[in-house]
Amino acid sequence: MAQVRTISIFKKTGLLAVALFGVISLLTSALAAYMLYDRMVQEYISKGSAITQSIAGASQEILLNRDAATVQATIDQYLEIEGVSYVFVMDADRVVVSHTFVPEMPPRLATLFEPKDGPRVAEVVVEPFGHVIDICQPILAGVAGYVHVGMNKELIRKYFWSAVMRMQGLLFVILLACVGVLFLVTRRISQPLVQLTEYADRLASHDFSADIEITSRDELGHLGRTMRSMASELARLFSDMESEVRKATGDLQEHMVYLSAIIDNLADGLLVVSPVGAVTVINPSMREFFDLGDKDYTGFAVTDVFPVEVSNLALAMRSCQGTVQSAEIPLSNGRTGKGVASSIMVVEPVNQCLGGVVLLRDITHEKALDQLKTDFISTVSHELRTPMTSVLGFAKIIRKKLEQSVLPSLADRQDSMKVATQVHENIGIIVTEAERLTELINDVLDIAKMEAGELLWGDKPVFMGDVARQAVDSTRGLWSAENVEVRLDVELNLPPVRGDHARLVQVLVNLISNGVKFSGGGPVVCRVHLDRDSVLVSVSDQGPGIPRRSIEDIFDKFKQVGDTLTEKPSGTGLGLAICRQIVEHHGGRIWVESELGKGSVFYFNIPTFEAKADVPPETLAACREYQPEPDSAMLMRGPGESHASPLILVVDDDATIGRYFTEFFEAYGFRVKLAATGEEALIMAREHMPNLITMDLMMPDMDGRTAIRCLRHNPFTRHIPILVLSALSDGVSAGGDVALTKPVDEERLVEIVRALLLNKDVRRSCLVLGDVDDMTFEGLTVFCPEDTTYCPPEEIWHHVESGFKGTIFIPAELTEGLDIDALSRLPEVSVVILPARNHKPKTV
Amino acid sequence: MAKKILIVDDEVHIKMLLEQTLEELEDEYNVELFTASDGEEGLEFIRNERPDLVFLDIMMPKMNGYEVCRIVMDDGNLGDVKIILLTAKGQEVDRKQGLELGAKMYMTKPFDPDEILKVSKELLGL
Repeated sequence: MAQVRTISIFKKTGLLAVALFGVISLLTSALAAYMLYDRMVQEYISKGSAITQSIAGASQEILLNRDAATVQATIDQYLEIEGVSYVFVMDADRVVVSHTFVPEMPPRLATLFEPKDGPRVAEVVVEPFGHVIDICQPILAGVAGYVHVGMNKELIRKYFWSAVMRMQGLLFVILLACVGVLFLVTRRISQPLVQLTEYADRLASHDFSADIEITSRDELGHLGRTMRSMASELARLFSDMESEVRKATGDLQEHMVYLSAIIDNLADGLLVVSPVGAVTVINPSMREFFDLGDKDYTGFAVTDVFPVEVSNLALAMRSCQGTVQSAEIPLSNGRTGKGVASSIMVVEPVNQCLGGVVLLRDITHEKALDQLKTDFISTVSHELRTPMTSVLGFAKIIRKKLEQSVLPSLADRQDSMKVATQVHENIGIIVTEAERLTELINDVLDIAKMEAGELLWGDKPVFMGDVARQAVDSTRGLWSAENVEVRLDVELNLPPVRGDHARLVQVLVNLISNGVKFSGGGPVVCRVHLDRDSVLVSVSDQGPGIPRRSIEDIFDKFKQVGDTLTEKPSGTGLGLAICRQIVEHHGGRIWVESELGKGSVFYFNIPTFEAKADVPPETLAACREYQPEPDSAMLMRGPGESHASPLILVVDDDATIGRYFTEFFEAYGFRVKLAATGEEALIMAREHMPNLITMDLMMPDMDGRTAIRCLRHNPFTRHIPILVLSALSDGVSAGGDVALTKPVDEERLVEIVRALLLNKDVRRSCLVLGDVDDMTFEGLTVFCPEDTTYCPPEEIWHHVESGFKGTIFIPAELTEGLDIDALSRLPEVSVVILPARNHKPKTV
Repeated sequence: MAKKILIVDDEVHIKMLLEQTLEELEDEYNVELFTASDGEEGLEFIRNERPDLVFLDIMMPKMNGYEVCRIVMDDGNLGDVKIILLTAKGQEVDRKQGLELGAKMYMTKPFDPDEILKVSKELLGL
């Protein structure tokens, strides 16, 4: 093959060379031939001229002599000269004297023009010679006649053509030789090139087994050697790469098998859908959940394969955002599943959503367990509480009847009286024990509910100082009965924590009760103060202390300090476990420090949170101008008015609604004032002290929400019940006491208004600093019709700590040394500074 | 006109306990006491007699207290009937549900007889 193939570049060069050679040879031969032809014509003419002159010279006399035969003989001999076709001589009368034509002279020749003064050349066609150059020479200037010699032009042509032919032949031979030589040379050069090309071709088709024989030492040889080393390098790289790829592929396959095995063996059902909602992967658990069999569902629309709950979950991922939890999904065989869908996002190389994954878990068992737990709590609750109700209820009734009827009637019968008194005591024991049992049931249920996560926790700002005061207050019965002093020490300006007020009170009640129980006679001190970013509460007693081994597990369920065999446990053993649950729910920690014989300190902390969101500073600033000056007293009601019907301040920017409420409330016997904006409401609330405010939320300028904040912030208006009447459904969160959504059911409205007005009376108790006799503010009896207490300034905190709620009146001269700010921050406590004694309030 | 109090509970003892507790009102304020043993009976009585106050147990056969409460509250003619739900269930959800239905109070067993008396007097305006 290599012998036949010639590199086409050589072929092309060869062809071009041959063509060039042909053109050049043709041109040169044509030029040479033309020159030869021209030369010969000139030569024939000069030859002819010489002959004619010679004849003319010789023939003058002869002609004059009319010796035709001699002339004939003379001209005949010229015929032998090469190229001479004919000779003829004419006399002066143009009569042909002699000629060489056989048999006769063509007549036309005789008519040729003849010059008198010299030779003339003409070209004529004469049969049988063809083209002839006729040369005419006058003899003696025509006097003696004329000589014509015809030189054969055909002969010149013959020479010409033979010369051309020979030249061409020679050139052709040379051409052939050249081509041959060229071919040989080309082949010699192209053979290694062809070999190299083939070699490169085989390398290109990854045939690294190919080899090339290199003998030459020229550039081609160098090229070949470079290629060979390159090929071996390539072969090495390729084999390396191939083995790498094989290894990687193997790893990948192994990994794929591993992954698919994981997917196939997942207990949870797995479904993957493409962004257009077509099924791409279903694992066996998923098939089993929905009885899908072994059919290949790849590419099917998810809605065609799965029930709507699952397909909705999968399709929810088309937006490729977040995760979606499903509600319970019914599975085959009456099982229940719960699904979660998440989107598949690829970040590299570009953000792309590949669809969604739905994981489905069979929660039949968990659900059953959960139900069991709920049922258990519910059942225990019911089954224990119902008999406890009877036991405790009847015991109390018996005790009451004993006290009211039996004991008085036996007053005169000593024996029966003794028995009856014992019965009374026994009944008392039953009541006490039944109450303890009830407490235990409540604790058990509490902790069960907390652990089952069934408790609804409040989530509001809570002031731990309030919590502590309330806890001290609710344990009053206990500690006053045990004659234990409980001291409360609350740091001022504590930030609020977030959580469930009632539950936090429960914690402190528990700790204080414990402290009182183990007080050892000394005081129980409850301290509330800020510790970095949490509120730290401590309850310390001077009791026997807790042994080191008990400190660890004192917060566990049913753990009590001491030996339960020798010491009678008092309490349920659950209190501290509940405390821990509550504290930990609030993100805090509870612990105890104790020294045997010296007492214990229980601590817990609750992280604070920024309350700024609740009362933005600008709101307070907005409120400020509506607050009264501290010394302008608030006893503004005239005596007659207080016994009049309750005053309702209706705040609504819509005049029609305002009019409607006015008529409506007046029909029920209330007095009504109308305010159209939040600002107006604040001013009117301060001036008229309404018993109740109904508040619209959406108002121009100051809206209802801000107005409520200001009302609540102002100690003089914070006690006024606020009923939010709004088209918005989140009225309560605006800070009102009750919220009703418009349109309002009239009966319900009146009912609620009455309830709120009733409640309010509770907040109307008054505490006045100073002596009763000194008090000349008749207005007070107006403002606090039934419940007014007078107390010396040093006892004020005692009253507050014992849970006083209402308004504290402080004569201006007694304000010195009192922390008015701290007082006014107390919940449900308002502080009013009475004007100095020497000028009575103007309204009274 | 004498005020009417209805006690609806399937537990005989609880019924007795409430009756004995409220007897005091019967004597002092001329209040009439009635009892019913299940929800249906209670509802029928409420419809016929329109008592002023109903102590309604929640877990009862035939018709539970919530249903009775809902029907009574939805009935425009029975708007004056005040209902106190009595139950052993102490879960907050129950309490919320009960109050949302329009019951005046939700008392958890075991309850204090004195508390019952106090609340009854308050609600009856005695």
